[in-house]
Amino acid sequence: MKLKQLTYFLIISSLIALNYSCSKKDLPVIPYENSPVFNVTGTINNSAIDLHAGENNAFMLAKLEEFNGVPQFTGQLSDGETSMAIQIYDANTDIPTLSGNFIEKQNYVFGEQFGSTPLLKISVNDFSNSGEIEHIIWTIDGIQQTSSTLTIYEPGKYNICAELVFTNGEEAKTCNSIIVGYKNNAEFSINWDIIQNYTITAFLEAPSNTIKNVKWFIDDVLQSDSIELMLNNISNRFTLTAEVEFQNGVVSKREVFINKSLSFLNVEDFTLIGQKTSLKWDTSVSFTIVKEGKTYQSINDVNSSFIINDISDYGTNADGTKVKLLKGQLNSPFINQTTGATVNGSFQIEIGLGY
Amino acid sequence: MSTDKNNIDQLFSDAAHSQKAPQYNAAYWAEMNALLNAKDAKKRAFILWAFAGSALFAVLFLSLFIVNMDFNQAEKRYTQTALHNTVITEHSDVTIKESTNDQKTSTQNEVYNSKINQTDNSSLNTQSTITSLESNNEKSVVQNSNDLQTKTASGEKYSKDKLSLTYAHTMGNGTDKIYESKSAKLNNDRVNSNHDLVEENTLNDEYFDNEEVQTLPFDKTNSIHQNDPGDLFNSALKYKSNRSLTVYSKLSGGLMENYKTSRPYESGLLDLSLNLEMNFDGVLLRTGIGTQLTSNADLIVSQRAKVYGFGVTNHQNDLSYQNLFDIYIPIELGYKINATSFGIGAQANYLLTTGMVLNNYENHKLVNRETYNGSTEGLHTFSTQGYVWMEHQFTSRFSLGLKVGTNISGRIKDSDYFNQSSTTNPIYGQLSLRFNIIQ
Repeated sequence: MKLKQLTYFLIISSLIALNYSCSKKDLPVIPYENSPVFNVTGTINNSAIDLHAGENNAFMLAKLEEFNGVPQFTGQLSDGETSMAIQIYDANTDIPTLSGNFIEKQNYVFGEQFGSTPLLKISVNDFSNSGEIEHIIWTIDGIQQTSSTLTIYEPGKYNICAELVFTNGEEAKTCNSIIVGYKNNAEFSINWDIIQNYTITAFLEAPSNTIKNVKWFIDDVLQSDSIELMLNNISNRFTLTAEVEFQNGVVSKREVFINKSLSFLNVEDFTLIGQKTSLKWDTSVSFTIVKEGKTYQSINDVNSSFIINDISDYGTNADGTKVKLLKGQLNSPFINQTTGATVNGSFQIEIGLGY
Repeated sequence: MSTDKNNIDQLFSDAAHSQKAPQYNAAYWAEMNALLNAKDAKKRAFILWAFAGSALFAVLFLSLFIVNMDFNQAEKRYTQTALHNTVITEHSDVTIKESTNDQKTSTQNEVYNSKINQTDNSSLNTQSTITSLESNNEKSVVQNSNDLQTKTASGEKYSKDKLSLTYAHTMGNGTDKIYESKSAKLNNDRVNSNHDLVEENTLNDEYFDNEEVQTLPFDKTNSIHQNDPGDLFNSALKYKSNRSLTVYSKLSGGLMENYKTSRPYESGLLDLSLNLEMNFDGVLLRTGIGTQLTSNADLIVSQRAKVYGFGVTNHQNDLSYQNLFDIYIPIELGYKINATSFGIGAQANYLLTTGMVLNNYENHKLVNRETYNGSTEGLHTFSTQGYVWMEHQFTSRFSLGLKVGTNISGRIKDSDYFNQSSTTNPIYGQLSLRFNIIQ
C-alpha cells in the first residue's frame, strides 16, 4: 500500500468516525438528588413525631377519594407504625363543574367532628300528610333503612328514596338527592297544582337564583323544557321531576309524587322538610394521627389553626392522581379517640393531597 | 467523691460489664470471608499476570540474543598479543623461523598464530606497517589497516620471503610490541582487511607466483586487550554513521482484559497506525498517528441518584461502553540489534467515539435499555497507555512484533460517574505486522 493511499484511508476513517461522534444522541439526564419532600415533624401530647417520606419506610399516599358522594382531598404519611392523615372536604358539591376542584386557601378551618349527632332527620311527622302515612321505607344510596325516620350522621350528598306506605294500603315513591353538611348554592322548590280537567301546572320557585334552563319529566319521561309545565291527559298517579340548571352552575333535580284524584296521598319534596344541620364542611380540614396504637382526631377549637405557607402542584402519583404539596403549620387540640382525652399537637407539615 | 482506687476500678468494671459483648453472628463472618476471598482473587490475578508478563519478557529477551548470535563471525577473527615478551596463544600449530636483517629475532619469543608461507627466492621487504602500541608489558591489539596511524620502523625490515601474516615481534630494546604487518603491495589494495588471513594469502598469491602457499591454521584468541588511555590513537577509519528514517504502517491486534470481569480474553484491541522511525545507530525513536478500536470492553460507569418523592427511588444509569474508538499518537524508544528491535512506548489517546448501552434501573429493577453511539459521558477524552514492544524484521518490508501494555491514566472520569468495573487499567497484548513504506 502506498503512503498516499494509507494516508487517505486514515483520513477517511477519521472523518467517518468524527461524523459518527457528532451525530450522537443525548443521554437522558438522571434525576437530581433531593431531600425528602413530604415531612411531618412535631409533637402530640409531648411525644415527638418525625416522618419523612422515603426514610424508614415512610411513604406518602395521596388520593382523591369520595366520602358519602362528595370528593375528599386526602393524604397520609405513614411509616407503618406512626401516621398522619389529612382530609380536606370539597365545596360546591351541587355545581358539577366546580365539584372536585381543590380550593387553595391561606388557612383552612377545622371540620367539626361528626358521627354522634344526626345531621339530617326526616320522620313521618315531617310530611304534611303524615296522618295518611303508615310507614316509610327509606333507601340511602340503594341501601334500605330499617326505620321510618331517616337519620344521617355524616356529611355527604345522598341519593335518597322514600317509599311511603299509606294507611289505605297505597304506596308512593319518590327519590331525591340531598346534600347534608355542605352548602347548597341554589335553593328552589316545585310548585304544582291540578286545575280543571285534571290538567297539571308546575313551575319553579327559586328565590335567590336565576334559572338557566329546566326540564320537566313525568314518570321519568321528558315532557317539556319550558319554564312552566302544563299538561293534561296524564295518568292519575305519576312522579313529576324537574331538572334545573342555574346560572351559577348548580344542577339539581327534584321529584314529587302526585295523585290527581287523591291529593292527600301525594308525596311532597322531602328535601325541604325535616331537621337539617347548619354545619358545613366545605373546604374544612381534619387531621388524624396514629401513634403507638392510639388514634388522635383533630377537633374544631378556637385554638385550632392550620396556616398554609405554600401550596404547589407536586406531580402525579402511581395511579395517576394529581398531587398538591401543602406546607404549613398545624396547631390544634386532638382528641384521643380511645380515651376521649384532649391533647395538644403542633407540627410543621409538608404533606401531599390528591386532587 | 471518693478517690479510692478500688472504687474507680469498680466503676470502670461496672461500666464495661453493663455493655453487651459483641455476639457471634455467622452472617458477619460469611460476609468478611467473601470480602477476603474477593481481595485474594484480585491479588492472585495480579500475581499471575505479573508472572506471566515477566516470563514472556524473559523469553523474548533471551530469544533476542539467540536470534542475533552469529557463530561464524568469531572464526574470522584473530588476534595476536604479546605479553611480557610472550604472546600467548592457544594451540599454535606452527612456529616459524623468521630472519630479519636488522633485528635479532627471538624466535623463542615469537609465536604465530597463523600459518606462514615461506619461500627461498624472494624476499619481501615488507614495508611493515607497524602499529606500535607500546604496552609496557601490557597487552595490545593491533589492527591491520592502511588507514591506521602507521609508523615505519626504520631498519626493521623484515626479511621474509613471503610474509603475509600478522605476527608479534619482540623489539630489541626489550619492549614488548605487537606488530601487525602486511604486504606493502597489499597496503594499497586493501583498505579494510579484517585480519582475514586466508583472504590475504589469496591476494598475496598474485605477488608470489610459483610460491607454494601453505596455510597455517589459526585459532581464535581468548584474550581481549585494553590499552592505556595514553596509548590510544585516533582511528583513521571512516566512521559510517547508521542513521536512517523509515516511514511504516502497523496493524496490531490483540486481546485485553475485560473492564467488567477482568478476564483477559473477553475484549479485543485493534490498532492501525502510520509511523515514523528514526534510527540513530541502533537507537530507535518512533512516533506517528494511529487509530485504535477497543471492542467488547464492558467499561461500565454509573450514575446514581436517590430521589425522594412519595417514597424514595434509587435511580441508576449504567453506561456500558462496548466499543471505544480512539486516535492516538505513540512515542516509542527502543534499540535495534540486527533485525530485532525492542523498547518501551507510550501513547496518548483521544477518544473519538463510542458504542454504548444505557441501562436504567429504578430501585435495582431494569426499566429501560437503549443503545447510544458517540457518547463519551463519564470517560476522559484523553487517556494514555504504556507498553513494552519487540519487533523482528523478516524482510526489508515486513516485521512482526509483540506489544504488551496497560493504561497509564484511566479512561474513567470519577467526578460525575462511579466505576463498577473490576479493572480500570486493563492489561493487553497485541501482535503487530509492520510494513515499511519508505525506507
